[in-house]
Amino acid sequence: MKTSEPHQRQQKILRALIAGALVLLVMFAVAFFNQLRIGTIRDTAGDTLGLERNLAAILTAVKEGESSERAFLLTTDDAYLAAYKNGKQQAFNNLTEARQQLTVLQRPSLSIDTLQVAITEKFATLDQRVASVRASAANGPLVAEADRKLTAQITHTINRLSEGERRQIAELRTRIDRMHKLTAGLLLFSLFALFGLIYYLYTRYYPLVLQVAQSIERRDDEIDQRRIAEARALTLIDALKSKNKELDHFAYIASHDLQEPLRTVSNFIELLEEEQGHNFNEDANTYVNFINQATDRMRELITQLLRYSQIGRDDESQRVDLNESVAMALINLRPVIQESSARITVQLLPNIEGHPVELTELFQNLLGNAIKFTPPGRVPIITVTNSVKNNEVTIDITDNGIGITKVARGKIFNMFSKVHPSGAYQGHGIGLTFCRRIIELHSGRLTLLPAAEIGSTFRFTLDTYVYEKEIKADITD
Amino acid sequence: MKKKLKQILLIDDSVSDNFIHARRIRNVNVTESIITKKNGREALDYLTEELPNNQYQQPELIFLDINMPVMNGWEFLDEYDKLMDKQKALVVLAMLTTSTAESDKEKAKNYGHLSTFLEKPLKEEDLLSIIQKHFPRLMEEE
Repeated sequence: MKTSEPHQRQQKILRALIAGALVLLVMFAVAFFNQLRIGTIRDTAGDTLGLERNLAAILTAVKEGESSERAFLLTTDDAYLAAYKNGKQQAFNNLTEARQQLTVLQRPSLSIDTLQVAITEKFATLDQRVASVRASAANGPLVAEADRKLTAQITHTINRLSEGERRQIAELRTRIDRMHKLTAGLLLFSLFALFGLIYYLYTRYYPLVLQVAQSIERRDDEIDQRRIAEARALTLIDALKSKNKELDHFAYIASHDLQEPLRTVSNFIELLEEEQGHNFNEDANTYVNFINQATDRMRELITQLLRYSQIGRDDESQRVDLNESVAMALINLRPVIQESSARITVQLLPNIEGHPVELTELFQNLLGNAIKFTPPGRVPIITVTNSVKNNEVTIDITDNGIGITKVARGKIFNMFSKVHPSGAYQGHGIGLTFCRRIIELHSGRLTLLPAAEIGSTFRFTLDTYVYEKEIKADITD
Repeated sequence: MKKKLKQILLIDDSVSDNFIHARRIRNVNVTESIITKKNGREALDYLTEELPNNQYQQPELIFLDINMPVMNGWEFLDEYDKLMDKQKALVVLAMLTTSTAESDKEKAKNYGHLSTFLEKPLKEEDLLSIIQKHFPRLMEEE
């Protein structure tokens, strides 16, 4: 749900954008073509205006020609004759031009034909009169009736034509005006549409922008908090490390100093036996035996505690061939192996970064346990298998011993806990605690696999690299 | 009557250890007197204390504990080295506690006059074998 909602909204916004853009495009296209047409119409209007002026010029030329001719008839001055000829030429030139303009404007040339006939006739009449005057060198009839008629016809025709063209121009002007208004309207509408579109996008996108800004802010907050938490965790780790060191030191000091009074007790018991032993009755001897057993056990416990506190204390980690660790452990266990005729199979192990003395002790403890907790009369069969994955080796030690009951499972890793009745199996109940500590020193875990029909399997992991150095470097950086 | 040592010096902060050691030394009956000092400083003061006739106490045998307050066994040995010969004993023996035995034995290699290490508490057999080793003439005349 949550993921599809923004998607749908985006689709909607996209559609609106496309529609808006299309409308704008159409409007601009219409405005553009409109403007092009306005240009064409304006050209036509210009041509029409030129035609109208030409027509006026024709009339002026005809009239000038006529008046110059008349002046020549009266004065027979050749200057007037030249002016007449010039006017005639002008009239015909303008007429040709007007014809061309009509062709350009694609108008019927019927009326111009009529005009040409009239003008030609007119000038023919005038030419005739000039010729006769020059021949007789006398004044001819000034204005004939037919000639006056011709002039009227020419004037009328030209006026009619001019009128038509003027109307045409007025009409074109109106059209241009209308089209200008249309363009302006379209542009104005486009402007509104554009604003509308922008507003739409703004209303649609503003919440998104807000959301993004908020989520960025939230993420920044989270990053800050995570950084604070990390710093706190680092401080905690430091504190824990120093606490651990303190504890180790405490265990060392405690176990060391506990030995002193213990030694005093056993020393004086010894002295007592030496000097007063001959006076002891049976009861006294029993008491002394109990005291001796207790001090012996306590000495052993303290020694183990001391050793426990010293695991990984003295030496730096180094390259360790686990096969050598197992080999050393087997050498140390030789007496029990021979006594029990245990059969031990070890799969080839990898090298790791670790503490050699502790690793040997680890194998010695686990293999020793496997042999020790096999019922009398059964030959211990022990296999050591392993697999390496992601800088971690997982090692299984499987035996065919007495196994570990459900009740005992929770207790076996506790220090000094023994799950068998006193005397059934020898030991201090510290072996597995040692093992776990050594494994933790190598960033690993010790577990007991679910009970099988016979025997038990201890599984533990060891890091093939020691990360401690790197972590330390990070902290000091 | 057999010949005895003139004096044995015990340097140890543990009252109970001193008690036991003194008692056992007395039991084997090899010395006329047993002196106990609680730390290296007291022992040095005792050894350097001048007697009439330009004489010094000069016990024949010293049993030295290592782990002591004020001045421990090692510090004592450093100072002892600087003493005049007539202030020194004939034999100095270090007594070690089991817990620190290994590291102490390593360290003791730096001290020439310590070749023997004893583990506390001393037994009567230990005492007899020490006398036999360092003072054979006492045993002969017995």
